[in-house]
Amino acid sequence: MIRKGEAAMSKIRAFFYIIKLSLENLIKNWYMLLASVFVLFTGMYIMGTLMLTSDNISAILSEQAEHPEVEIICRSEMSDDDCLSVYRVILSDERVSSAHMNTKADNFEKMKEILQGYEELFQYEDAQSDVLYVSFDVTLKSASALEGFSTDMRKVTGVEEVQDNDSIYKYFRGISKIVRTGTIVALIVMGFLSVLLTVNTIRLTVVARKKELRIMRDLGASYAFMRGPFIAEGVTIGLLGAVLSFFAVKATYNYIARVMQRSDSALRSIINLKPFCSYSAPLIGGFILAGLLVGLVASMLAIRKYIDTERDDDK
Amino acid sequence: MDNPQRAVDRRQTMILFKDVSKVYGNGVAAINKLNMRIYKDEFVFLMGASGAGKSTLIKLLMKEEEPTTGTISVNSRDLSKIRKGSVQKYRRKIGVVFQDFRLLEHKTVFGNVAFAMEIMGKSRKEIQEKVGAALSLMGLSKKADEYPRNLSGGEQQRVALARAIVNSPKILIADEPTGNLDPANAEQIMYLLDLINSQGTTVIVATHAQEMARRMGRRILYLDHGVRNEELSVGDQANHVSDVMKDPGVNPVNVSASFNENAIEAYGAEEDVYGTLFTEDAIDDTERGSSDE
Repeated sequence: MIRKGEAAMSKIRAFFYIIKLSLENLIKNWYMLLASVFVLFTGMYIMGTLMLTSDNISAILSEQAEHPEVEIICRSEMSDDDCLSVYRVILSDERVSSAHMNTKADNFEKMKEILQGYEELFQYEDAQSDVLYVSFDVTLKSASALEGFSTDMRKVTGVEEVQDNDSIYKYFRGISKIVRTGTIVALIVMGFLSVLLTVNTIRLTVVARKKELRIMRDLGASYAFMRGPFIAEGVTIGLLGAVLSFFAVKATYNYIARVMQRSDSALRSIINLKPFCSYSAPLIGGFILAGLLVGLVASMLAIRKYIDTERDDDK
Repeated sequence: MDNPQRAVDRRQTMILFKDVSKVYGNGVAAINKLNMRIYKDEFVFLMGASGAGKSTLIKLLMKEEEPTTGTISVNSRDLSKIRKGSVQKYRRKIGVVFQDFRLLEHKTVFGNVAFAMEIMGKSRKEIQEKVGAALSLMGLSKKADEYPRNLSGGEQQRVALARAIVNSPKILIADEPTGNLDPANAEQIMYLLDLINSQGTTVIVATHAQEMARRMGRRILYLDHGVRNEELSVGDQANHVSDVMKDPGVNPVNVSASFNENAIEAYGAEEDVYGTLFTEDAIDDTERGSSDE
């Protein structure tokens, strides 16, 4: 019982000794620590940003897939009353979930809102709502109906144009594909670079402590004790990189969200960023896991190589 | 005068090499069919020309190298049966001293010796107590706060010795411990090794100092890629001292006075330090080790 207690105490003391040694090493090699943390930070920052971008684009695309929207524009020479026949055609279509009519006056107000700062344009005598058109915002029941509905609507008398935003969403899908590919490439490249630089940082301290390690080995220090400080070092680098990149991603995301808030309503209606708090937990969790993984892998690689060749030095 | 119990113990085998050969990857045969037996509590010199296999023998004993053929037993335990995870536990029972001292420059004398205990997770109290005793035995109490760079070669080797014995090893291996020292310091080191041996630690010294080895009056194993010859030298003063020191009633300070005035000039071992360093409890600690592999 007493011996078990002593063994436990000795492990606790050894643990704190390992932490102390690793902190000493990190302070001694602070420049390499900065370099490693910076690479890890950059890698995670890029990956985090790409992942959030990709997720938001996916959200926009899925929203569109769930509730596809179409804007139907009537000829400008048609009055609001003339367009009611078009409205009836739309409402009678089974593919339509809901529809809203924007009168010429509504669209004129929208235009004034968009052209804020250019009020002089509306001072001309003929600058009246009458010059604009009537439009309909139509939400369809399913995305599969989008193409057929648009084609049918273009044939209706009085319809000038049907904007199904398909080209915009195709553009988003393209971006989403690029972002996803970029995330994977960044994951591989930055992951590799992070491990490489962290391995080098730890190897520097291993080399600096080569003599100490050899003495430790001769004195019978356990392998766990010899490896401990380097693993703790790698883990610290990983954690620092993870925490810093999390806050950097958060700051960037919130900044972009604020910019989007101030943007025009048309853009805002398409791009609606999710609140950052919905990402906080998975992002910090993922970053910490990735940081720990990089730190552990890097430190194990750095020590394994050294310890395996250490005996050869003595021959 | 020998203690009768010690005379019995001496016949117990501590180290046994049976047809041991070691051939390195490049084809060099460092040791060829070596048969050797070293008894418990024995003090043995390993001699031989450079490349005769002394260092390889030490590496085999430290389990840094594996024999190509043959078996090595230490304290009746076949070394080949020790699992990789337990090698470090085994090494804790062996103290080792090198020609180049292998001290940590950034640690003080106390720190260097304490290091051997810190890596095993020993308590601060135990470290203070045992390191203090080891330094006192080596006559280094007043140098505890010095850094190795401020010490002479002899003092540095004594620090290395203190570190080697602080965990109360069963075996002490000294690889050319006097190789970098002048004759006076070399004698001091030999005296201390003798002192350590007198407390029940098996001591193996690899050396080129043939004259000194002969004067110590201990068994000498001549190595030439295997044991070529054994010689039990008949020493003069040193032989006498070794025997006298085995009498537990003899104060080491007095013994050293009869050994060589020069040998004790630089230090003064305190008489109560054995109690701290070489008690059965201390040996139990080494046996226990910490199961941290």
